[in-house]
Order: sequence, then C-alpha cells, then structure tokens
Amino acid sequence: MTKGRGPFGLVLRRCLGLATLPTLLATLLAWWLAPRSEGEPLAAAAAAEPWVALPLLCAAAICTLATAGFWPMFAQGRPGADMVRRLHPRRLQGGGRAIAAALVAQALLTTAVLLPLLPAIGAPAKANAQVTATADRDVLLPGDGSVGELAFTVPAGRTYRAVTIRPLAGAPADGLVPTRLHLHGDDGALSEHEIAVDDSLQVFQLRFAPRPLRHFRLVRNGGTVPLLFPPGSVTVQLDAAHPTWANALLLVLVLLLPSWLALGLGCLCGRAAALPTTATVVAALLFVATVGELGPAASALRRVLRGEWLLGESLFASLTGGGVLRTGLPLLLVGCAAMFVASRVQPWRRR
Amino acid sequence: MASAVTLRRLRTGLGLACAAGALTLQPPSLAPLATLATWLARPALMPFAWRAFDEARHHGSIDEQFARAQQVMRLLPTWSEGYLVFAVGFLTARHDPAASADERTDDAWRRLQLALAWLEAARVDAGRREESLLQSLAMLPVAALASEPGLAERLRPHGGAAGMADRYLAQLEARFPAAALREQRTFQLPGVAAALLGNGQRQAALLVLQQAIERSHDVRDRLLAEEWRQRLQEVAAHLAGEPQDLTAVFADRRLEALHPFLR
Repeated sequence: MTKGRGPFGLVLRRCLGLATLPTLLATLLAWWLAPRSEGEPLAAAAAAEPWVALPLLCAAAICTLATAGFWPMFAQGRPGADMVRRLHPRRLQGGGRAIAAALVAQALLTTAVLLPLLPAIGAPAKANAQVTATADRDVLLPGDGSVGELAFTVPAGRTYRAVTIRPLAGAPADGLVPTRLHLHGDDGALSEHEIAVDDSLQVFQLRFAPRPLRHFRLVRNGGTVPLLFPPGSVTVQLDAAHPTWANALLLVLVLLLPSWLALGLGCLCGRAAALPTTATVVAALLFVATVGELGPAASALRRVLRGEWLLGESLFASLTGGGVLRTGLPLLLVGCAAMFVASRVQPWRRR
Repeated sequence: MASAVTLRRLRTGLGLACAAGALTLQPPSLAPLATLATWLARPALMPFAWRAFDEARHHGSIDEQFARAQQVMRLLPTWSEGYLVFAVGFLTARHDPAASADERTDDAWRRLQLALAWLEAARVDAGRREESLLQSLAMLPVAALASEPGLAERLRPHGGAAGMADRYLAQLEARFPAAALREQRTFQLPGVAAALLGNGQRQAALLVLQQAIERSHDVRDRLLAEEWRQRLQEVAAHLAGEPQDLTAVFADRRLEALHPFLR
C-alpha cells in the first residue's frame, strides 16, 4: 500500500479535514464568550471551564464520529468493507490504526487549541504541585477543646511551602467564638500566622519557608466552633512550579481517554451493528465520559485552569485517591478490553 | 396586465417601506430572544452550573466561587435573593492570614466593588425585582464593613457604609414607596450622620439629623416616634453646641454609631 494511504494516514487526514474548521470556530467562540476581567481583576480562570471545554469537546466529537463513519470496519454493511478486509486481513482490519489516527488528530487539535487559549483567558502561567495530607487518627476538633490538635502526614522526600485547609464547621458548643488554629511542624511552629474559622468551607492558606516535611499539626488555640477535616480538606503545596504549557500537554493526554473508550467500544459494537447504532454508542459514551464527568477529563481541565499540576500526587496516591490515574485507569482498561474482544470476535453476518 | 404588474410592484414597494419604517421606529431587540434562549437552555444547563458551583466551593478559590455563582444567576435571573446570598458570601469570605492590614482592606474594597457592580448590572432589566436588588445593594456595604473593619477608612469619602446604603434606600423609597421602607430609612439616618461626622462634615450631619427628626413624624408607632425624635433632638442640640444631658442617648444602642462623636 502507498505510504500515507493506509488506515492511519487516511483517517488522520479525514479527521483533520473535518474537525479543524469547526474546532477553530469553537475556539474563537470560547475566547469571545469566556468571562474575562475588565478593570478590577477577578482571578477565576477556572470559571471559564464550560467555554474552554467547548472546542475540546468539538474536536473530540468530530474526530471520533468521523472515524466511526469513515473507516468501514466500524459498522456492518459499509461500502468498501470487502476491499478493506482483503487489504487488511489482520484481526482488527485496520481499526486499531484508525483509532490511533483519530487520537493523534484530536491530540494535535486540542494542543493547538489549549496552548493559545489558556493564556488568553487568564489561566495561571505556572502550575503548582500539591498533595493531599492524610490525617493520622482524628479528623474532628471538637468545640469543647477535648482534642487540642490534629496530626497529618504528607509524602516524605519532597519540599513543601504551604498548607491549605478547608474544614467543615459544626454548631458551636457555647456561643459563637471562631476556632483559632496554629500550624506546627516537626520542630515548632511552621507559620507565625493564626487563622480563625467560624464557617464551613472557608479556605485558608498558611505559607512558610520551603522545607522538607513529613508530619504537621493543626493546634487549636481557643474557640467554640467544632471543625471536621474530611479527606481532601487539607492539602500541601510543593515547592515546585511547572509551566502551564507542560500541564496543558498532560491534559491533552487525559482528554484522549474518553475518545479511546468511545472508539474502543464503538469498534466492538461495529462487529454486529450498523452505523447509526455505532455512532450513537460512540456519541453517548463520549458525552458521558466528558460532560457527564465519568473519568478524569473535566476535573483535569479544572485543575489546569486553577494552576494545579496534574502529576502532583505520587503514583500510589493518584491510584488510590481521587487523582487522574484513579479515574482514568478504568476508561483505559475498558477501552483496551473492548479492543481485545473486538479483535477476537468475527463480524456478525446477516443471513 | 400592465396595470396589475404596476399594482403588485407598488404593493411590494409600500410593504418594504412600511417594514423599513417599522424597523427604524422600533428597532428589534435581541434581549427577548436571549431571554427565550436562556429559558430553553436552563433545564439542560442548571444541573451542570450548580454542580460546578458546588465543586468550586469545595476546591476552588473565592473568586472562582463568585464567578460560578454569576453563571448560576445568569440562568436564574428571577431569583432575587440569590444575588444577595452569593454577594454576601463573596464579601464575608475570610482573608489570607498572612496578608497585611492594607492588603486585607484592598481585597475587601475590591470585592465590594465587584459585588456592587454585579447587582447594579442586574438592576438594568430587573423590572419589579429591582426593589429586592436595591434592598440587597443597601446591605452590601454594611456587610462588607462588618467583615473587614479596616474598610471604614476607605468608605469614609463615600459617606461610610451607612451613607452608601442610604443612597440605595433613597432610590428604593423613590421608586417603590412604602411606609415600612420609609421607616427603615428613617431609623438608619443616624448611621449616615455618624459617617458624615467621621468625615468632618458637621453641618451635613446636622442636616441629616434634621431630616431624620422630620421623618420621625411618619413613623406609625407614635410612642416609638416620640421617643426617637426626642433622642435625635438631644443629639442635634449637642452637636449644635447646646449643653444637653445625653444619658438616654448613650443608653440607646440604635444610636451607637453616634456615640464616639458625642463624648
């Protein structure tokens, strides 16, 4: 077969040809509609998420649906299927390379969208890594003062520079007096500043000189408001900033997961179903995995817009906590399983 | 045949001229179309907007929460109280513990300006709901000051929190006259006078007090009106240089804002 005329080259050209203009128009629309500060700054690039998601979703939808509609082996009874079967006698009959081409096309388009759009809507120029601190034992500071402090642990061997807390507040034990907290490390106070909490979900960041850390304590210094620290309410910022473009490239990889799932299951579906069914399956899966937030795509986009480094957590923490890997791995595995089954199943032929 | 064609052309020309005249006299507005689009899109978008706002409360910054709240309110513009709920939440959010007093004041001032601008923008096409928005606008400077006392200096050139609130209440009273509203403003005027005194505007403060004394005649509870008028007259006389016994004034918490200027 002529170079560039195989499944990969054909599908790549088809996807780019169909998706480039709509994605460009969606990008311009997003740039135009996204809320931007006028005069007084309102540093809330993450609130522009729906508009930034628009061109990304546009590129993903067109690339996946164009692939399902273009490559004949994604559905039964498509013109050219017999010829493709003769030219590609392998198990997936070019389906794997077609999917790879669709993903490459989507990656190229989303990269081209994100790199100029992120600075244009005011996303932070640097992405800061952060990890979630785990409570050693208690997570509740009662308002009566029976527990004086809570201890937390963070991964060792890294340098940290701030602790952010966002506790839940209960009803005060006796008259409303904000609970005052101090931050202590292994060897004394980490920050000289005191915080006073009197309501739920108030966010405080206590900064200190960059230093290695393994344990720290939140010491109660009076007040009557009971405070609860559920998992994820205490995070620690690492002393490491990464460029946003690198974070955007990581995001591009994460955004491929919904498409991979949709095309993998679409490929399996195409072994027995006609194009309308396959297209519906692909579109529905893509919608659920992106807009419906089944998977890490939406949360990863928010984190990039908030200036959070996507690989902040360790591999283990990311797999066991709520990180990108934890939510992305099932999509990856289901897509792989669907492709494997599709490669083992003979296309169903109507008699 | 020729006359029928001429007549048809004449009718077409007249129709076009009338359409052009109508468009000139009453230019079409996109606002109703936008309202209809919002109304149609609301059921599909609201769950996502609420979820995004809730997510921002748990993981986002206070600025992001406010921006998300604005997105919710864009879909629900008729929920007048929502403006107040989100704006007060934005104003009273805690500050960075490491920030200096000046930085805290700057931040509180910035938030107040943003919140006021948001509600002012909502007033434009609020119709009858403007009453509730004006009430909310009157509350914002007071809430901001309660949350960040350092804001008092910044508010002073604008008449203080009470003065700013009074301007909105005056608009409210003019546009939606009601006895309860008139009384509310009457009882808030000493706060305006205190702000003026703090700004060194003694004569203006006396004028405001005089206005409060006159308005007290409209208070429906006669006993309360009489007592209130008496206290105000004592304050006004004291400020005018006449010796007065201010024991009752200092015992009255409603006049607490004036106490520092009477000692």
